Amino acid sequence: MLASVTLGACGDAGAGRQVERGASASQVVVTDASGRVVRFDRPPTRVLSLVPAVTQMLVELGAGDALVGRTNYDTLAVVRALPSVGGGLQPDLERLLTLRPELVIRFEGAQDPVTGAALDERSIPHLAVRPDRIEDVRTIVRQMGQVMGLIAAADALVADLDRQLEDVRTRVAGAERTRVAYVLGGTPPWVAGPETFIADLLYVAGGENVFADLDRLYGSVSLEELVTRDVNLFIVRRGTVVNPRLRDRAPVVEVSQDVESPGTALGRSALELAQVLHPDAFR
Amino acid sequence: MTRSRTAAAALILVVAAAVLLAVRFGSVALSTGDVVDALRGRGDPIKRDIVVGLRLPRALLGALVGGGLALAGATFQALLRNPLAEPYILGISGGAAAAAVTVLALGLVSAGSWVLPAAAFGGALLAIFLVFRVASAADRSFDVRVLLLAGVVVGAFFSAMIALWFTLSEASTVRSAVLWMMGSLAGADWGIVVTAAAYTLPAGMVLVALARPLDLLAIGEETATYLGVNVEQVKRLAFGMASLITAAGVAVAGGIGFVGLIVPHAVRLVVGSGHRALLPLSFLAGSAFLVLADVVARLVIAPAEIPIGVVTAFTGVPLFLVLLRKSLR
Repeated sequence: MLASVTLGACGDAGAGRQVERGASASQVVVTDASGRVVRFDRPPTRVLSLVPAVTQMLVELGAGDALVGRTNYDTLAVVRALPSVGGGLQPDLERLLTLRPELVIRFEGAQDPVTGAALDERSIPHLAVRPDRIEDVRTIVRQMGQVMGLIAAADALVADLDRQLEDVRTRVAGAERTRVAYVLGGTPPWVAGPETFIADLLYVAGGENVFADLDRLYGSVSLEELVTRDVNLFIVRRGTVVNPRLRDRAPVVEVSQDVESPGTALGRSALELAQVLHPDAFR
Repeated sequence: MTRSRTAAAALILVVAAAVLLAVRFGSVALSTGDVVDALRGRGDPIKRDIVVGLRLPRALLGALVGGGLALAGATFQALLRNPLAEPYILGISGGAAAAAVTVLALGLVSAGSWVLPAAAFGGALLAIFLVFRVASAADRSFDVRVLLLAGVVVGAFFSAMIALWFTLSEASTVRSAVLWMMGSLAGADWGIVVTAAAYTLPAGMVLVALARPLDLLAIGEETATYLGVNVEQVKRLAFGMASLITAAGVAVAGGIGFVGLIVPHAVRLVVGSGHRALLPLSFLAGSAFLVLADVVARLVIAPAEIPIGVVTAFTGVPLFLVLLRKSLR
C-alpha cells in the first residue's frame, strides 16, 4: 500500500523518491520466470515491455505513463504513439538503448538468447515472463504491481479477472462438459495441450480438452488421432486454415484472436468460449 | 598480377568504406559528429554504446564471417573441382544446425549465451569428422567424389535429425531454431568478434599460403603429384582449414547462404582463377559484401530486421548476372 501511495506522490519528481523511500526498507524483490532475482529500490519510471500482453496489463494497472516504447505487435491505441523497437523477440538494440529503459520485460526462453545477454552486459534490469497458464497471468499482474508500486491496482485487476472467470463458471455450471480440441492450424495440425492457458480457459468455459494427454504445451498430432478422438467441437482462431476432414468429424467454430492472448482479456475470452461451448446457458 | 593488385587495393577501400557505412548508419539516426565522438570515446554514453558496443563489433563480425565464407567457398571449389561447391557442401551447416536445435530442444540454452554458438561449433566439427572419416574409410586416397557424397549423406542425416526434433518440440523451440538457421549477425559483441577472428584469420592465412598447390590441384591430382605436390597432405590441410572457418562462421552467425558460393565466382570473373589472387580477394569481397548486406538488412524495415540471407541473395544474384554477362562478351 505504501508503495502505491509513494508512487502517486512522486510521479513527476524522480529525485525526491529516493530520499523518501529508504534503501532496503522499501526494496522490492521479485523472482522472474527464468529464476533470476531482480531487486528494485524504487519503481522504474521508464519501462519497455517486449510482451504485448504485459504492456496491456501495465496500461490497465495505470502504469501506462512509464512505458517508453513498444513492439510492432502492440495494438493498444495509447501505446501506438510510442517508438517501436521492432519485434518482441530480438528487438532492435540500438533503439532499445536510446529509450534508456530502467526495466525491460521480455519473454523467457531460448527464442531470444541475444537480448537478455545484451541487457546484462549493460546492467539494464530485465524481467522474464512466461505466461503459459492463467495462474501465470495472475502472478505476472501481481509482480508488475509490486515492481511498479501499484499493488492495490494489481490486486483489483486480479480480483476482476477472477470474478469474470467465476461468472463464466457459474453460468455453465451443471451443463455436461463439451469435449473440444483447440486447433492452431498446420499440417499435421497443432493443438493446445493441458498445461496452457487455453486449456484452462476451455475448462472454465465448461469444456474438456480432448488432448489433455499431450506432453507439450502445444504440439502436432496426426490427423488420424484428431478425427478418431471423441470430440464434439473444434475451436480455431478466426482465419485459421484447417484440414476439411475435421469438419466431417465435428463442427469447427472460429473465435476471436484475443483468445490466444495471455493477458487481461482472459475474462472476456472465457466468456466467448463459454458462449460457443454452451450457447443454451446464454439464452 | 597488376590487375589483381588494383583489385586488391580497390577491395580494401571498399571493405573500409563498408565498415564505416555500417558504423555510421543504423536504426537510430546519429550525426557524423556523434559517431566520430563515440569512436574517440567521447560524448553521450548511450550513443557511444550504440557505435562501439553494437555497430562496430557487428560490422567486424560481418567482415570476418563474409570473408571467411567466401574464402572457404573458393577453397572448396578448387578442392572438389566443382563450381557448385560452397562452404556448407560437406554438411557443416547441417551438423551445426542439428546441434543447435538439440540444445534448444533440451532447454540447455538457459545456461548462458555461449551455449548455442558452442554447440553449433561442436556440431559442425562433428559433421566434418564424420565426413572425413567416411571419405578416408571408403578410399585411402581421400577421393573428392567420395568426400562430396559423404557430405551429402551426412547432411541428409542431420536434416532428418532436425525434422525429428521439430516434431517432438515446443513451438517456441521450432521458432528459435528457424530464426537461428536463417542466419544473423545480431548476436555480435566483442567477445564473439575475437573468437571468430581467432579461428578465421590463422586458418585463412594457411589457405592463402596453399595457393600454389591449390592451383596445381585444380588442374588435376595426378598432374599435381608429378609437379611435386604432396596431394594428400594439401587436401587434408585445405579441407580442414576451410571447414574450420566455416564452422566458426556458422557458430557465430548461423547459416548465411550465397556468399560462399557466388563471391568466389564473381572474383574469378575479374581476376581469373589463380589462387594467389583469388583467395585473398575472395576474402575481401566476401567481407565487403556481407557488411553491406547487413547494413541493408538492418535499415530496410527498421526497427525490425530482414534475414541477411535474403539480402545476400536479392543483391548478389543481379550483381553476379551482370558480371557473368560482361565476362561472356
